[in-house]
Amino acid sequence: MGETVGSFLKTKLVNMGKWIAQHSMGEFDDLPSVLDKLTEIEVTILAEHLAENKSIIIHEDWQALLQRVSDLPNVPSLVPPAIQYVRSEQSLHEKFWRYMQLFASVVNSNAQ
Amino acid sequence: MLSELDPANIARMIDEKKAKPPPRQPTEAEKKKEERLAAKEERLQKGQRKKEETPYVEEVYTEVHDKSKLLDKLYAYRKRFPHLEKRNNVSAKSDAEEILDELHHCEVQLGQKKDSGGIGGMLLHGTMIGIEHITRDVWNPLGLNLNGLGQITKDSMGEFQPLVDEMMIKYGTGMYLSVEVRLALMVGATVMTVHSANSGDPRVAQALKKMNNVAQAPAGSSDL
Repeated sequence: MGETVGSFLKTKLVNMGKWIAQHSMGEFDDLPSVLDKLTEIEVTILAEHLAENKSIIIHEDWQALLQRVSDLPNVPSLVPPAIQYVRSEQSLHEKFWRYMQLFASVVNSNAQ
Repeated sequence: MLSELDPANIARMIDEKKAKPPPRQPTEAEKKKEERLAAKEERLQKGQRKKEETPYVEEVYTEVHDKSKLLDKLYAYRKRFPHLEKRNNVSAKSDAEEILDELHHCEVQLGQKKDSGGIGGMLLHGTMIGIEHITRDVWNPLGLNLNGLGQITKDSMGEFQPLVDEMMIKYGTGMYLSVEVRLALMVGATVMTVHSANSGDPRVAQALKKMNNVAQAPAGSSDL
């Protein structure tokens, strides 16, 4: 049996945290550990919200994404500033939106 | 000069020598010393009497432990949780006290949550969530808006952690969670999750179903 959706999403979210921390030169060093503390169900709910608002990902709408993330309960307070940082770094945009696309598509997958 | 050789004088001098000198009256300091010594003597006698009584009391309250049962329990813990550290090397030859100490050491280790801030952090986070829910749904005489208090506490655990750790060290010996409390907490958390899934946000119910599906990674996502 393969990896569950919850576990897969959490692994990828922590990977994204590590990637941002690596590029931010120490500003977001705590991000991977903060994201690692989220439970699988919290990560799945987060991905559900992204899947329901796919237009944000399609249009790469930073403003709407930040608004959505700030409104959600259980999102660590370090996440909105991290998104702001990625927004300010043009070279990180492509990979960041690939991550968002991945979360939105995997949450509705079922390989069984 | 020769008068001293007079037998009458000699007899008088002998009588004077034999006669005892008048008894000297004790000074104030000597009287106090006598009193102190008498009090000490009394205390010592009381202590002696207590010691004679104590063995009877000890015999009455000494608990009898079945060493084989204790050892079985200890080996069962070690088999199920091989990561447990040893404090004493116990065997069938060890005293019941040593085996009990080792059992206690195992239970303390099992009751200490090492990740996510330990038990202290977990209790603090749980308390904050409780305050948030009580002020929102049950009782809020001050009209406080504490939405997100639990989440902010979790995010700021790094600042709370030194204080929580200090408190855990101060009250350390009594602050580990027994297996009964841990089971009750887990049951409570499950009840709350199911309750929120059934009555609150429908996304929680959906997420509960989806999170256990098997993930199908899209092509080209291996580098993420």
